[in-house]
Amino acid sequence: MLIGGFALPAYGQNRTTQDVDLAIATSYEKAVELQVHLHKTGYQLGSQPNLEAPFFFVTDLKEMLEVEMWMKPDGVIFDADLLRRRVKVRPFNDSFEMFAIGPEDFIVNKLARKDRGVQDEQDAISVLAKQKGKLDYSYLKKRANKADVIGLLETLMQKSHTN
Amino acid sequence: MLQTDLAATILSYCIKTDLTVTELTRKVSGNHDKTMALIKELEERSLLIREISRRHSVGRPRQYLRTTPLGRQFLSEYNRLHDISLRCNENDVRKALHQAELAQRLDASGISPYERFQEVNEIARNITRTAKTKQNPR
Repeated sequence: MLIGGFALPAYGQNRTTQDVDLAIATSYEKAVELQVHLHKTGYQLGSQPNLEAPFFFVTDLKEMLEVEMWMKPDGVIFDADLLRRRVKVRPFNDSFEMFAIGPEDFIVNKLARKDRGVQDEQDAISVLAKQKGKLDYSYLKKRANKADVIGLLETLMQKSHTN
Repeated sequence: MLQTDLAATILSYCIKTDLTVTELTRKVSGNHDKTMALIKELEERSLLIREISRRHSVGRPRQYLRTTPLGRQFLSEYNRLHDISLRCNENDVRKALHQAELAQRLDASGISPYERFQEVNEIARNITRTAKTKQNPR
């Protein structure tokens, strides 16, 4: 499932991005298998498998594109609620369809990032503004509460008049 | 630097290392008198205490500043509040709202956001690839 900059055009602003962020709900063992497989098919591994790491990244050497695989994306809980809110997108061409994280979980993920910066907050604002009135606000607040970013979310909504 | 920020800096220094008043004032850049006054205030509020160390056998026993459990509590609350402060300023918020408005106009014109996303990224990649940067003369 797409998260980050590649998921953003589905419900927020359009901006350039350097890498693809993917959330993968998988066990550590399966993630290692995936890394081995990607390595065999020509991807360069960014780091050694690590049980504690929230993500690993690989680089497509042909396209020089970095792909971050998030096993534990910040503030994201892999459950039925999250899966129900995924949106189908066609990021590359019409023949290839995939899932992107839902807009509410996208916002929480951006705000819960440990290295949260201006860009992350701007991404969240753009979704709040573009989807104003269409978001599931009780779900958004429930998830923000769980991720411990409810104060941040409410301040951001107040400042951007998206509440 | 706000008085609270300076207080938090002092308290965090005095958790990690043994520092005398002189060492601390040297470590904390800025106005010396202001730092001294704040140290005194933190002591009065029991957030910071002085401890005498006799580890050095030679010379007078040294006095170190220590953050008290109350000081640690202050620091943890300060860090929590610092984490939830926005990184965006007014201008950043305005820019993000403008970008959302542009994206809305794109939708209204029937242009696929991913089509535009691909174009924008393609253009950015081409600019990076073709940019002529100055060569290092050496």
